[in-house]
Amino acid sequence: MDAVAGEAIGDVVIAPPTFEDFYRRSWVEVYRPLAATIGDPDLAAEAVDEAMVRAYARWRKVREAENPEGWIYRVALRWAIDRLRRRQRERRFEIRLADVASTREPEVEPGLWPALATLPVAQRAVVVLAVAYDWPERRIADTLGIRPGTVKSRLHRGLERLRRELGA
Amino acid sequence: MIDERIRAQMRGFVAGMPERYGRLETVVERGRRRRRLRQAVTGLGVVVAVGATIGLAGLFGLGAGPRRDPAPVGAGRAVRVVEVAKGVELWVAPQVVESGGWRVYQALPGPAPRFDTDGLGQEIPLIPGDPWQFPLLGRSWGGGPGDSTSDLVYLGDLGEAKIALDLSPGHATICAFVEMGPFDGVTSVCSIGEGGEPFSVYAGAPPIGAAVGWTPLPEETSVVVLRTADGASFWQRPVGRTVFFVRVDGACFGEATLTVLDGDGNVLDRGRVTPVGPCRVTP
Repeated sequence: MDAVAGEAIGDVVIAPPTFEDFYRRSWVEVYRPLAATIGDPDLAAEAVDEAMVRAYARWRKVREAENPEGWIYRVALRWAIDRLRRRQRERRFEIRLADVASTREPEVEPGLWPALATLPVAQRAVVVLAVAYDWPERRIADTLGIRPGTVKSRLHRGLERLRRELGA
Repeated sequence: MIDERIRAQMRGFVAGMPERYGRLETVVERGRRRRRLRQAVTGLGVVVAVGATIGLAGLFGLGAGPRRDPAPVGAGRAVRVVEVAKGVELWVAPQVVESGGWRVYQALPGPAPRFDTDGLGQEIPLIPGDPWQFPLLGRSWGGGPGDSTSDLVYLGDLGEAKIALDLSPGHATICAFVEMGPFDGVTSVCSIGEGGEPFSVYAGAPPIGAAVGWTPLPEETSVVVLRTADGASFWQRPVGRTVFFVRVDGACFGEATLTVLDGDGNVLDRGRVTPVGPCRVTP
């Protein structure tokens, strides 16, 4: 049987990576650090799915990007942050209306999260990837789309603050 | 320097993070809709920039609509088998709708492609239909269902056109119903799918013109690509082992080739069709 890779029917060519393969390989890889960064597994899963939907819609471009997983991570993180901000605005509105705090505790280990949550998201993302996952500086920089020097400074400041919060 | 206590706490923290799992099928479905929307917006931009342009989608009488895919064959869903013609069987959904002398089954789509379909040309989606929406339900037509019940397998919608296969007893060949809008726009085309070859028919009920398709396709068929003599390329996922490309502008297809692909993009079969019927000459 002939193999088809999209461009030319009947030609025997090596198939480019399919979206389905990429999805299966990358979903958990992106989900785990993202969930740890935003502290909400459900929102993280939703965000990764949303980023994957966008990737599917422009798959030819995304698959040719230097770091498709990084692209997914950045899109998912931005989307999640937007959602969190919207949630906070709605929460403030609800409090004004009913004087009832509609708070949702993150479904994560309670000891560390309050301290981690005090870090700005940009710092928190670097700290999670570097400390919990041991990602090298270059990989973090590529994934987050920032310079290695920025990774270093965010990690330094993030850890400093984390030590203070934890009383270390 | 990362102190070990923080590192241990962080690792405990991420290890305790609840697992979640992606939903590939939902994502692909949403992505497909998003891509169509993007293409429609891009197409609109081109039309605005160039002026009057007849879009290919218009040529095929297609409207963008969400695909309501029932589970594909082999997805672990309970199915039943019906005979479309002697020796030709189809998998259909277990539920059946009966009304006004019609019994309508819902055909199932073939397996989803696992390869990138970007280079195959324009998708002409045959969107699996809800049997309750089949327009013949509760109405008589031509020879009608008569005293007995007539069975149909509703394949789906091609824009405004609704496509079904006739399961009436005694049929030695496969017949398809095509309905466009009003009731008297219904027509049927028979003698299709002889020997599992691609077919080219003229529906003869303007605005429905020519139809090119292939039925019954191999069960593992995921995509069929239609290439016309002028180099245009279109593709469709089969529903009920059938693909159906209908022109609704009264014109006919020229010579065309069809290529049958499985879910991995392997070529299962190839065929060629030549135009038939009194094709109207378009100005």
